[in-house]
Formats: sequence, structure tokens, C-alpha cells
Amino acid sequence: MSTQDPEQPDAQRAVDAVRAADPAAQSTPDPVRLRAALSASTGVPLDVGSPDAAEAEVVDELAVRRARRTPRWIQAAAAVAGVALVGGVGYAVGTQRTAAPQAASDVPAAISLEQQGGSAGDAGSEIAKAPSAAGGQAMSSARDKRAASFFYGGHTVFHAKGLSSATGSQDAWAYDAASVYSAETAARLADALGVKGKPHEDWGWTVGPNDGTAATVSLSPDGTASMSYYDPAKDPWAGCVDKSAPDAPAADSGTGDSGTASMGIGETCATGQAPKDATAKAEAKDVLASLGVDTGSLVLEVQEDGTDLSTTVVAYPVVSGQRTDLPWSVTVVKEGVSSVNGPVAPLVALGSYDVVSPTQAVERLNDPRFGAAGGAIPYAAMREGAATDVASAPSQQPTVPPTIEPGSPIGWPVTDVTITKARLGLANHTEQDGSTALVPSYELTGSDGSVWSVIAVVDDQLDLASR
Amino acid sequence: MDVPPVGGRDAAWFETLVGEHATAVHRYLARRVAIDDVEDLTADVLTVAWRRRDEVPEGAELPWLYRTAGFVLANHRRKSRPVLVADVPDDGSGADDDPALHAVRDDQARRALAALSPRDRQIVLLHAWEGLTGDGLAEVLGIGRGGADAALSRARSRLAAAWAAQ
Repeated sequence: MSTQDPEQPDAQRAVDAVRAADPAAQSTPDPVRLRAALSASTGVPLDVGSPDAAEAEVVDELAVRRARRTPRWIQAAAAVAGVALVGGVGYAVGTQRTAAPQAASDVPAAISLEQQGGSAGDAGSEIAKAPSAAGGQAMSSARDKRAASFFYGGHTVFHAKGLSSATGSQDAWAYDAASVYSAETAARLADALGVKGKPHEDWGWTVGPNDGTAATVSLSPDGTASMSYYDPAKDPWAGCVDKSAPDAPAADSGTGDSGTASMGIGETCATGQAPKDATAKAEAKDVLASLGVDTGSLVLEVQEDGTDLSTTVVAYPVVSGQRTDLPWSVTVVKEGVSSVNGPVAPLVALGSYDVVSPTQAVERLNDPRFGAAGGAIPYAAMREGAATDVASAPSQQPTVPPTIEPGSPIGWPVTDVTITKARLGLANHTEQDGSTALVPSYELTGSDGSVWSVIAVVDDQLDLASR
Repeated sequence: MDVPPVGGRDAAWFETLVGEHATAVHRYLARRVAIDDVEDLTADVLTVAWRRRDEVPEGAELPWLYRTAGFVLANHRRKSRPVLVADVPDDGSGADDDPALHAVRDDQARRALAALSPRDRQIVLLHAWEGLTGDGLAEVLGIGRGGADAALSRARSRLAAAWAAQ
């Protein structure tokens, strides 16, 4: 279709190469979900399609992630349920590790079953946005409370809309800390990082002084055999703070106070610009490789440190097409790497576990064994547009509330959340004894934009006995 | 449900439009935006097509859809995303945070594309991936046919130069 330009055969070759590198050449939308969405947004009653048609159109991923195909049970669910809202095109629920490195923006984040405590990071400020719909005025005070509180006040019920009732299975993984936690491992890590000394037990295997006076490597006896390396000599702030000691007489600097005046004195102060972006990532990858980490399956992100003196690179291992919630973190400064921490324990396959269906997952949110009171947390309100103006509650002088009328119903607001989307993925789960695993879990999204999570493994394969 | 036809465009017209072009719109977006967003943005584009069904040119629906998809995409990028990925702060080149580049598997192709100006890159991709030339390309770019031909020729030359330099 393109004519050969006789003066620039290179141009055609270049264009052809770009064409061949098309990341979406075979990608197709899920016709059932699309039509359902369009019917809702336009009011036009589109034909949602017959089960045969839905099965015939293969729900495919972007070509660049061919290895992560939606498992057959999701396609079957689409066929059976008609308007299926399970997982879907955007989410990879494969059972094998992705080998190729991915752009951070394309790989879905981990699901979190644990209390976030604001560590949802970017989502911190979005937690517990009030629902835009039902409740209006009657809930205004409750809504303000919700805005400040972490939960939806706990008085929340859920129902599913348009979700599949098909069950399935998903692989789980465990961190095998026991296989690596040892003095030898600590010695190997220290060696790779240039930290001298013999490993000794000090809240884990430790090489180095562990009091911040010199470089230290430590390996913790926790569920992921997490390691930590820190070199105060390379920390832009550590050395400087130490040097702002009384031995720098105030009269000398003429400023009359300690602290910043001594910045120039400390010889161990790291100064100068840290490597950024691709250079920082490369350095991070190098140091992680030297520690024996499989860097091929990592997704790297550079975090805003808010300073030129250091750059933090966060590296997420990818499992089943999803970033895990236990990344490596490397801080890079001009003089090299000032800190590293991350999970040393390798992941071992636990095999396939049966999972409940998305509708059952929503029922679990109403179940005290799993639900909002017992473990389902709204950890993000992620849809733009679903956000309400909770934050814009006007600040006024407080006024005395009106007295409740005799016989009037006592206010007891209950939030009703409609869950319209479900994504099956993996979430971190730590047991009582500290052992840590990646367990199949659902991320459930409400029509109000709230996001909840719940473990997906069927009851039979959970040990529900109280400890 | 009553659906008011506009200029003869009714539910059947929309059904046909979706059937014929949903995949193309999906692919356009899949090439340029994080996979999580493709589905929703595809629906957004087609919803706009319904709401502005009187504007969609007969016989040139797809370029119109691509153009609309471009606007939807630009709007989407302007919004900040509160969760998930922290965007890599780039050094100002703009190339690093173009999702289309991340998706390109071929290293040489990716580097050559990264070396182009955003405008040239846009044109090259509309040409190489969406297969647009001539009137279709002009329609999507919102410029005249002559301008589109010239712009494509220049973009191809620059791609060739960038390619050879890799």
C-alpha cells in the first residue's frame, strides 16, 4: 500500500520496521464488554452478542505480552454470563512468569490485602473518597468522617452488578526465606556490596557495625529474607548532620548556629548531582544483578526524591503479569549506591488454587470472615471523575448541632457499594508465623470509584481455624 | 428505549459503526496508552461518535474516529493519575513518557522513533500503524491534503535519517 520512494529506499525500510514493531497489531477489544459499556453510556440498545460470537472473537493481549493470555475460564465466563466484567482485556491473569522487561506503566500494580496505612503511596490521599451517589445530605457528617477515616466507616454493604459467576483457578507463590536465610547469604551480599567483615547475629545476620557509623549489610529472619544495605558515607545527609557537631565553633563560621553552617566542613558529605533516570536505573540494575536478582523480570521506576542529591529507583518483580508489592529499592548518589533493600527469598510455586467467582468475591465483602470488618479494605478510589469533592468541604466555624427530635429515627447511615469490576491477581499475604506468600486475590471496583480487595482462594483451601 | 436519530443516524448506524471500527479505535489506543485505559477510552471515543453523530463524515468515519481518539487521548494524558504508576520524571525530551514508545518491541525502531519530534512521530505512527496516507491522514491531522502529503514526506525522511543513525 505504500509506494517505494526511489530516492529514499531507507525510508520505506524504516517505516516497514516500525510497522512490524506495532504493539497492537492483533489486539482486539472485548466485544461484549464494549457493547455493554456503550449501551450504558449512549442509551443505544446495542446487541451484546451471542455466546458463540463472544467465544469466536479471541480476547487477546497486546502482542508484546503474548505470553500472558487470559485463561480459558475467563473467556468461558464471558460466553456464559453475557455481560461479563471479570478481569478482561486490560488485566493479565496468566500463570507463567513474564520474562520480558516491561514499561512500568503497562504492568498492573499489586493487589493489597493488608492494611495500607497510607502506604498505597500515590493513592494515600485518595483513600476513602465518599460515594458520589446515595446518601447525600443525610450522610454529610458521616462523609466528612469518612474523608478523614481510613475505612468507609465500617457500615458498608456490597452487591455485585454484571459480574461473572464462573469460578476458576490461579497459581499462588510463596517466598522461600528459609532456603536463603543464612550467614553465607549475608556474606555473599556483603561481598557484592564491598562491605567488609564476618557475619554476626544481631537481629538477623549482619555484616558491619549496624549503628550507622559505617556500611552495613543485614539479612532479616522474616518471611521474605529481606536484606538491607546502607552506607552512611554515601548518604548525602548522614555525614553532614554528624559533622555539625560542637567541634565546629560557632565563632568560626560567624553564623552563630550549628547545623547548616557545617555543611562545607564534613568531608564525608556527599555532594553533587545524583545520576537520574536511565543512568540511575542502569546503576540500580547493576547492583541488583550483583546481588543475584533476576533483573530481566523487573519493572523499574524512578521515584521523586525531591532532591538532586539522590535518586531512588524502585524495582518491582513481576509475577503472573503483575507487579508484586515487595519491590527492591536502590538509592543512587553521585558516589554510587548508598542504600539497597529488598526481598532476597526466592519465590516458589505453590501450585494452582481454586478461586471463587467474582460474584462470590463480592459476597465475601459482606461476610465478616473476609469483609470490610475483617479484611477488605478500600485502598484506592482510582477512577478520575468518580472522585467527589470530599476534600472541598468548606471550613466554617463550628455550630451547635440541632437537638434530635423525640421519636425520630436514629441516624445509622449504611453505605451501599455496587461492585462493577473485578480483577483477579496476586496479593501479598503474611501468615501469623511470618511466612509470606502471593495469594490469588480479587481487586473489586465499585461504581463510585472505590477499590476493594479480598482473597480469592476458595473456603476449602483456606485454613480458617482461629489461632 | 427511544433513541433520537439525527440526520438519519440511528441505532442501526451506530451498531454498524461500532462493528466496523471498534477494533481500529481499540488498536489506536492500545498503541499509545497504558493497557488499563484502553477499554474505557475506546468506549469514550465511540460514545462521542454517538453524541456527535451528525458530524461524522459519511465515508470517512475512521479518520474522524482517529482524530477524536487523539483528542480523548490528549485529554486523558492531561489528567493526573492518582494511583498506580508514578511517571518517570523525564529530562524534558518528552520521548521517555510516550507510551507508544514503550510498547515498541524493536529496539532500533524505538530509538529511531524516540529521536523524532513529537509531531513527526505522531505522523509516522499514524502512517505505519494506522496505515493512513493522503486524505485520511489529512483528515486525522486536521490539515489540508497538500499539507498532509508534505508532512508525511518530511516525517518519512526524518525517520530514515534517524533509522540510519541507529
